[in-house]
Amino acid sequence: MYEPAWKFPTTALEAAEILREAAGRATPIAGGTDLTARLRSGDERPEVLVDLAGIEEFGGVDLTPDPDAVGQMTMGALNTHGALARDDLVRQHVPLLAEACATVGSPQIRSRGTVGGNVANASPAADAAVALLALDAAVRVVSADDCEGDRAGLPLEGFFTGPGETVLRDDELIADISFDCPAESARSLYLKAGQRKALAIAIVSVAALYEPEAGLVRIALGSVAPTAVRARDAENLFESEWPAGDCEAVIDAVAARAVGSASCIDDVRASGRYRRILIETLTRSALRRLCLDLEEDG
Amino acid sequence: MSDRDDTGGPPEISSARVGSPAIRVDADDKSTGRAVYVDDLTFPGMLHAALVYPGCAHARLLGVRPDEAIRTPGVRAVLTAQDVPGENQVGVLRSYPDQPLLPHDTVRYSGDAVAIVVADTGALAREAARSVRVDLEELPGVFDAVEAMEPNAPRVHPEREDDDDRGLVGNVFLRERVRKGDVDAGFEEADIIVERTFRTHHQEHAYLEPLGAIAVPGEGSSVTVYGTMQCPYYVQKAVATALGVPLADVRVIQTVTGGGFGGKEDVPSEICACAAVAAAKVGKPVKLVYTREEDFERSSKRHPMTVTYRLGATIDGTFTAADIRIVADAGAYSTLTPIVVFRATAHATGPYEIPNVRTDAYGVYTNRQTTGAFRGFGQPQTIFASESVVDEIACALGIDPIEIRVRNGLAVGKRTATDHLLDESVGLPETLRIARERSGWDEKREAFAGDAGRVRRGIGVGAIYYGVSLGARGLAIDGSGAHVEIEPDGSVRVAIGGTEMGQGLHTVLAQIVSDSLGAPMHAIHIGHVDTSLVPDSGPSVASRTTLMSGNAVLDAVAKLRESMAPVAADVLGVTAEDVEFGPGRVGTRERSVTFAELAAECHARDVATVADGWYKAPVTTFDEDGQGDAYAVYSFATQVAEVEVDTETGAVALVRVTAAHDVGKVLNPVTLEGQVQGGVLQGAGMALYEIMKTEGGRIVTPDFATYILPTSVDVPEIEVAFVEEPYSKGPFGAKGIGETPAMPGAAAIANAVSHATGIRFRELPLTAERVKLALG
Ligand SMILES: Cc1cc2nc3c(=O)[nH]c(=O)nc-3n(C[C@H](O)[C@H](O)[C@H](O)COP(=O)(O)OP(=O)(O)OC[C@H]3O[C@@H](n4cnc5c(N)ncnc54)[C@H](O)[C@@H]3O)c2cc1C
Repeated sequence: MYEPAWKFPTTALEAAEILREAAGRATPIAGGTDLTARLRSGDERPEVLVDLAGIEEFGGVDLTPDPDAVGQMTMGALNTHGALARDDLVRQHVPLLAEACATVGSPQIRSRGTVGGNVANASPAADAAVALLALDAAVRVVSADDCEGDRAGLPLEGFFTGPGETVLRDDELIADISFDCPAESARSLYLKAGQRKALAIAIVSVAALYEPEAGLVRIALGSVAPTAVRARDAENLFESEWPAGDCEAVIDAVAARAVGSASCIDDVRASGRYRRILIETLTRSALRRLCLDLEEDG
Repeated sequence: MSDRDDTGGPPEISSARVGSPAIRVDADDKSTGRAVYVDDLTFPGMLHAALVYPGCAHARLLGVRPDEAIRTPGVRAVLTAQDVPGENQVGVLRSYPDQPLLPHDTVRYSGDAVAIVVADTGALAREAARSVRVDLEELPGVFDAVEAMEPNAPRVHPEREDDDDRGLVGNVFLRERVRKGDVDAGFEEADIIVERTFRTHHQEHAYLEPLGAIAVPGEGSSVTVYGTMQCPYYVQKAVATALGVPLADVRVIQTVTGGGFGGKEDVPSEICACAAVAAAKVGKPVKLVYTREEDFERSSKRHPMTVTYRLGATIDGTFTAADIRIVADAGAYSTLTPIVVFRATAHATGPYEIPNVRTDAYGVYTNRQTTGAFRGFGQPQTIFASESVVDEIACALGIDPIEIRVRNGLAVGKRTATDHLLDESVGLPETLRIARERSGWDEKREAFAGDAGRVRRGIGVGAIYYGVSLGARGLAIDGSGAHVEIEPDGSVRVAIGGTEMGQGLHTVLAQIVSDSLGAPMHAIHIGHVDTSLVPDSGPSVASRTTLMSGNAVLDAVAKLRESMAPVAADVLGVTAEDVEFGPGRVGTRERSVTFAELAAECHARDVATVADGWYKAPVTTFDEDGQGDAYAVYSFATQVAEVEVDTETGAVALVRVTAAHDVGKVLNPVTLEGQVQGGVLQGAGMALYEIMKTEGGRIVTPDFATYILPTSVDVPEIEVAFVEEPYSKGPFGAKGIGETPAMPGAAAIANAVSHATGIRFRELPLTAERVKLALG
């Protein structure tokens, strides 16, 4: 019968050393909301579970003010979705992330599931990860050899290599995640289509951020490809066309272009065809609301 | 408001009258976690069982090789078909002996477990079960009932002989029909005829507590079986059959049951018989409890149906003829399909008087999970069809949808499709009136039609009728017993044959006893069913339990009153005829004793304080042409649904439901409202979310992460209204309520979505994807 050993390190170094020693036979566990399901089904059977909950340095949300620019925000991997959705700093400076975290699962899941787990788990549907991708977030990775974190600024784009797969090695941990806060004038929206109103994994999600002064949008898409993706072509199209000409036509074209960044499949939740329709309609809807202040009314 | 008295002493007047919102008698136990479910129970020396699954949906079973499992330390036995000591048959209907307890030569669906592993712990048993080698030769399967009717379709039961005369050919094992009037002439009279085909899908009961059983061997060949179930007497028969022992050797005790909805009607017979066979083999108590995924695999579902509905009406909206064809997917075994299809056939027109009716229904085998009882019992599927077509005709004729239902709806003096002349308790017209008024139908119907934005609102209606209890196809088991005993201190023990499964039966029965006997609520102790205490009372299904057990209890109480009244009269110095029982006291207005005092006095005088009660349902009929008084009485309901359709994503939000239900008499308004709210949600699940997806017959949505149920956030505002058209043979005039709340919802929601979008949907569920693709 399966009975893993549990370890309760209290520092990052201690945790990292356990991982190094176990050489692939140990797995970190944070909130356990993703991992427990795989332990129960038998899909994963690590000999050792390294419980991260006691590692204080993996907590906290900090805003480093920068007099010349917007501040940089850093959040420890152990922050739960519930905590981030309620956090004043997050709500004020990055409502996009607060909104995305608020759509995760149910209250129970939000009070256990962590942002680090969401990123490390690398589901293409991971809500916080999609929002972080739109924020150009970077991941600070630590290991026993490198506890200061040379791999400090791994950009999230490129971090995911497939469903459930990242560039993380077996002996590495996510310590925190950081990004530059969007400009004061920026506006953002997180739109998520699920199979019901709550406790729903995204069929498609769109994180959109509009920076009027720079004339830029950033668009990240969830559940439309093996990993969460940025719709770079669509962003570039926006940058080159906006705000010249017919704004609504630009938005329509950008939304249509976003579909090109996806490689949708049919799965248990929806068909690829429906997903492609959703990418376009949700992106269009988000941009109309953000850039034109229009509710989608026709 | 509580009828309990924390000081322990009986309050002077605490009888909870029938009709009052008495607090549930099981509220404390369930809210504090004290209630003991089957998985909480353990017995000395108890072992644990797990089942071995075939891993495919249709195959010849060549052999089972348990060698490796048996060698595992802690594994005690592995049983296969050869180890069933009695008859290897578990189906509830003896006239359809097509379902082995453990298949011996053919596997017919993915949950068709071929062996039982017994081990020291559940985890060990499950692990060992995975190591049992099953040798199979896979066969092509058939997973859709309409395809299964094709001449070349793979046969699920090739051993069955065709019966060409009765049209039972290939996978078609059942036909029912209704022939009333002259259908062709009826369509001749019609100014408009609409014919459409509708499809519904498997729906999971999703009760909170998965199936589970413990069998405890006793002296000789006797066995006691504990389990979560609706129908202990079915289990008793199934266990006796599998063990080959007399019924008297099998005692079945229902444990606290965490929901059923029909899913615990016949299916618990399988798990209980498996546990009993294993216990008999190892000579020790054996527990078998399903995981949720196993429960999905092994439990029955709502029948997917393909219904073709043709309805004719004159220009003024009067229905002239209906021609209906129903194809029901029974899954791998017949189980309850014959009874479900009978009900669907008898009620297929919906609650309307139509002079000419032709209904043909088919029960068809496929290689999918068996389908059986599920709240509504075959009707929600046909209602979706009939109520959609009725709506379409109304719209085509420019008649208000509720108006057309009023015009054609059943009322006292009208005749059902089975030509049953209704002479009492027909609340349909009143439910239509109330639903229309309370929902704000007239204004909203007009206002919503103007929506042109991203979100479009719609309002739709569904009306139904439901024959209470088993009707003409269930006569032999349509009686119910009760046993009532009064202790010297005035406490009352009530044993019944009907099951409490969460619906609130014990509470309303305690109210009935309290009200009719004069004993305070807290003195009444109702136990879960123990088959050794009350004779076979049939199943707790078909909204029959309050009616049947209620009347049985009243029969016993009447006998007790007869023997106790003279004692009260003697003590009080009044005449026995003047003695009244209750509330809380016994006697006359001027002179009375407490119930406890009277009980003590009866015991002191050796007067009988025990009585048995029995109630037998009235005789019902259903002839070869489906004509007759198919059910003794009908419950009626109208639900109005309001939706908002997001045209961007296709998502349908159910905003508000107005549910008007004719229940005969409200026994407890709070538990009754709870029944309706739950039913509305199940209807919403069927309409909008729930779909059991499969690949090659294997379920790919076997858990609550992938099988989408409505959550608390998806609950609409629900307004419940009751109509009381008393039934002369019901306890205090009550009829059934269990099923009806789940019945009109899917039709009402689909009609509302059609009102919102202008598109008619003929296949459920109306997922966002389906709606969006239709919207374009
Ligand atoms: C019912 C339910 C509903 C859900 N709904 C949603 C939803 O709507 N949206 C959504 O995005 N997700 C959802 N999830 C998934 C899950 O809750 C989230 O992904 C959550 O953020 C995972 O965090 P966790 O702390 O629980 O991770 P864990 O389960 O503890 O870990 C997940 C994986 O990440 C690794 N890991 C965790 N922390 C670290 C770290 N610091 N460094 C390196 N590796 C690490 C673990 O080893 C494991 O492989 C749902 C889950 C459930 C059970």
